[in-house]
Amino acid sequence: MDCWNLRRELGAYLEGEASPELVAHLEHCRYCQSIVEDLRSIERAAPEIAETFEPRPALWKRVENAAYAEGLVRERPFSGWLHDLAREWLPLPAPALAAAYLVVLLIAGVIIGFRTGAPPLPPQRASIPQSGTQVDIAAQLTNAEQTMLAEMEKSNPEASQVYRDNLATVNYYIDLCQRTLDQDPGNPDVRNSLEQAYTGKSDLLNAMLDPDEMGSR
Amino acid sequence: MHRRRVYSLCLRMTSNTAEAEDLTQEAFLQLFRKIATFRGESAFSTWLHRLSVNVVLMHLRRKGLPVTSLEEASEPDEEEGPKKDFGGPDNLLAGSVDRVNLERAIERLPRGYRMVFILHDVEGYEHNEIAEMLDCSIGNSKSQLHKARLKMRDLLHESRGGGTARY
Repeated sequence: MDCWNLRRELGAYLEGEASPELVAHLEHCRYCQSIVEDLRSIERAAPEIAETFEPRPALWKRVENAAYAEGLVRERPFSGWLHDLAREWLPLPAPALAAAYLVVLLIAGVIIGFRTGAPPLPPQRASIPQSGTQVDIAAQLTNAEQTMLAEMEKSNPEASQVYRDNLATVNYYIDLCQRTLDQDPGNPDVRNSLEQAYTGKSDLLNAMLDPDEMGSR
Repeated sequence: MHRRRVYSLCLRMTSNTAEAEDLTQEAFLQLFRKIATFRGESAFSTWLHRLSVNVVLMHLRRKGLPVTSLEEASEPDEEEGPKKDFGGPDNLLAGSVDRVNLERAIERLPRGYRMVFILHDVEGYEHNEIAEMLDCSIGNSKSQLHKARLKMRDLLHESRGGGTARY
């Protein structure tokens, strides 16, 4: 029995249905053992992402209005367990993404200014960037993020890892929104989602600049 | 918890934020419409999540997108054969998987694999439940899940700059 032919059976092994030949093979084949370990790592990690993405608060308002218009609920706010469900939907901040609702490029400007000595970007620049400016600011922002994370890593590795993970998630969501917007540039909901994502990113950057203040919110 | 769970499911299954919002809205409207039929035989969260899955699958079918694929159920890598030497350990992921890379890899899975992977490994459904949802056999669900995980491993390895990890 060779490793290549065993590939189909590894799934059965993970389900606890392996043949004696496969069990015997796995006892001495370090390569197949490592494959099984990888597949188990994926299996372990997958449930942890079930609740990754936060819908923007406006979505709940949309749902509420639609339910009300359809006569599915008689009054607002909802009562009983529906009220609990509705309250749960409201934009309560997740611990590591505590709300600070500053605009991301203003924060970016502060960071860039902090790093370079240049003055912060004026508030009127605080919108979703367009054209070539976007590339420059995005590059500087990425650089600032990495520098801040590296510095935090020295003083507080645990917090640094939390921020690193959450920034990665927010950046991924921004990327996803941007790609959706590229397909449908006129869609205001997607644009709002993108703005929300940038706002989420500003929360994180703000928290990194002033963790004590964020902790007290 | 519910809002994030439902929205994340919709987003992951469609890879489109606008569609995910529409489907999340539809799932919660269905919840309000059907709440009278909730008998308490399962946990409320279980009922809501199952309802959300059905909303997404119905949407994909209405768009003419297959939720399982016979082509994918075959052996896509078979003809390519082994790609590397055997014998040594090749523990690519070192026991941990970064969640963003995991999301990216899920997004790149072929649709049929993606559905089964999300339903089984992320959402925690059993193969018999998935077979019922996707209108396929339990064996097909198991087979696609295994291939999805192998493909995920391949994609995760690529994301680490290590090239293809295929056998």
